[in-house]
Amino acid sequence: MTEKELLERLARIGPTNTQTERMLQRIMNPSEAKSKQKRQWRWSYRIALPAMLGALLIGFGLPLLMNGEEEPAIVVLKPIVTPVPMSIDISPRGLHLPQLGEVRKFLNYNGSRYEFLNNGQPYDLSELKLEESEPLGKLEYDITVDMQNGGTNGYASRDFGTTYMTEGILYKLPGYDPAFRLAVARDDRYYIVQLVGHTDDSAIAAKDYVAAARLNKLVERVELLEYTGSQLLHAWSIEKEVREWVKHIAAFESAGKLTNEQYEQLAKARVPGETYKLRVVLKDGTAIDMLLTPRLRLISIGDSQYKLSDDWVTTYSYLFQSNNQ
Amino acid sequence: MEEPLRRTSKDITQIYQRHVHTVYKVSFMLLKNVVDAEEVTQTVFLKLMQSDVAFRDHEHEKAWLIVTARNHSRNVLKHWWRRMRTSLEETDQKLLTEQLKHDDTLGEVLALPAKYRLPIYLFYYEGYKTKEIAELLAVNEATVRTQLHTGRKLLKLRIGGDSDD
Repeated sequence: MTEKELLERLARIGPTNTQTERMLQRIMNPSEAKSKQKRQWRWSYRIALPAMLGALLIGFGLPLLMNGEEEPAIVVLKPIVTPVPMSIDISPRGLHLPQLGEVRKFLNYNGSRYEFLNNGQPYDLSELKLEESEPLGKLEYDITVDMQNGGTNGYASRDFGTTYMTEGILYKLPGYDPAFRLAVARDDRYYIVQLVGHTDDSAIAAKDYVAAARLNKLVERVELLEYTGSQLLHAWSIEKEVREWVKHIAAFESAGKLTNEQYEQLAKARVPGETYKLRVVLKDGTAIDMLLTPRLRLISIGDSQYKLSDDWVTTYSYLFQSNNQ
Repeated sequence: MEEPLRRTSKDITQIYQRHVHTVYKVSFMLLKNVVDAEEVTQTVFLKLMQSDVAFRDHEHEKAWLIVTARNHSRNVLKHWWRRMRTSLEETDQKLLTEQLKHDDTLGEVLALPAKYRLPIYLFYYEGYKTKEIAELLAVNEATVRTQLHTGRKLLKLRIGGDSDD
């Protein structure tokens, strides 16, 4: 190799004009760059992956479901996207954290509380032909109206009570344990709800949650994000690491009913740098968001609080030390 | 909490235009990855925005950026979790990665052990003298000479088809 050839090779490394412009734009608008990256990542999951898996579903998933195989197929859950200004967060993944004054969208069924996925946005479940299956019931009790009247009817803890989509029909969601996810149909649109707690406010055992959600089978990767979810700090996508995470989650013990003082501490710790978002990304394109507060050794899954185990602390505490550097 | 900015956007844009190719290439030589090299380049200039270091001249400015890019690239290499994370590739990044992957002649340069790649790049492409490289990389001048000598030898051996194993 001559010196000239070496120089030619080094020149080929780049950056190209597109890269140069992109990097400058991101340097000048770091927050916008992050959200653009986030959006792009979401789009890839919302369009490319669902489309690809959708084809697989048609080829393999539905026949398996129809044949009543023991292992349920992974159903791709495609949100119906309505055009919105790009500045508005339209994340289809995970549970939505309600803003102040916003009524939480949930329903009660079989002694459990389920929250509407993606803040109640409809999903394209037309291929599942839910109406051909036996409905579980009708959402006939409007919790919001009852609460405005002082909650005298007790709808807040009554089965088929709901704060959203009253009159909707409840169905099993094929491929999921009804203890974890259900479908709601109303006005030719479909919604998905996900377990967050018990109507009597008793804690769900973490191992029961893991079993109902089939995390052993469904998890694609685990991500650690900063509290608001805008910055990805770590990701575990190797099967062994993902399995270890699921094992840790299943082993968390309930923290029981927190005292007022503990609630206050937890509320104060709900800030970036103290609390982190743990996103368990599922193979169906959705995710379960949990809130991790290492200093208080607590993790919130749905409405329940769990204690971070010694094993967990030994394995992962270094992450939070490095994040503070 | 975010650091206050010490330089204006105009200052940064001018410095960026002057040195982006060097910073990116230094990062790429160490990381061998388009996405990581872009990220490091961005981080280096963001650090510059927050830094209050005063530069004597453009050469001093360039030296600071090279050292910062080298240090940050090393940090990236050290953190296993960064290497394991999901890559968020733009379309052109995917294309570039593929092109570079299939560029055999560039592959020979990138196949050099990491400790030889940067001195070779700085010496031949950037035109630094061995003494200057030694100062930049905080090593002895003799070490740089040895690294350049071995790097040259490895490149020649690889081109000749001989194995150095």
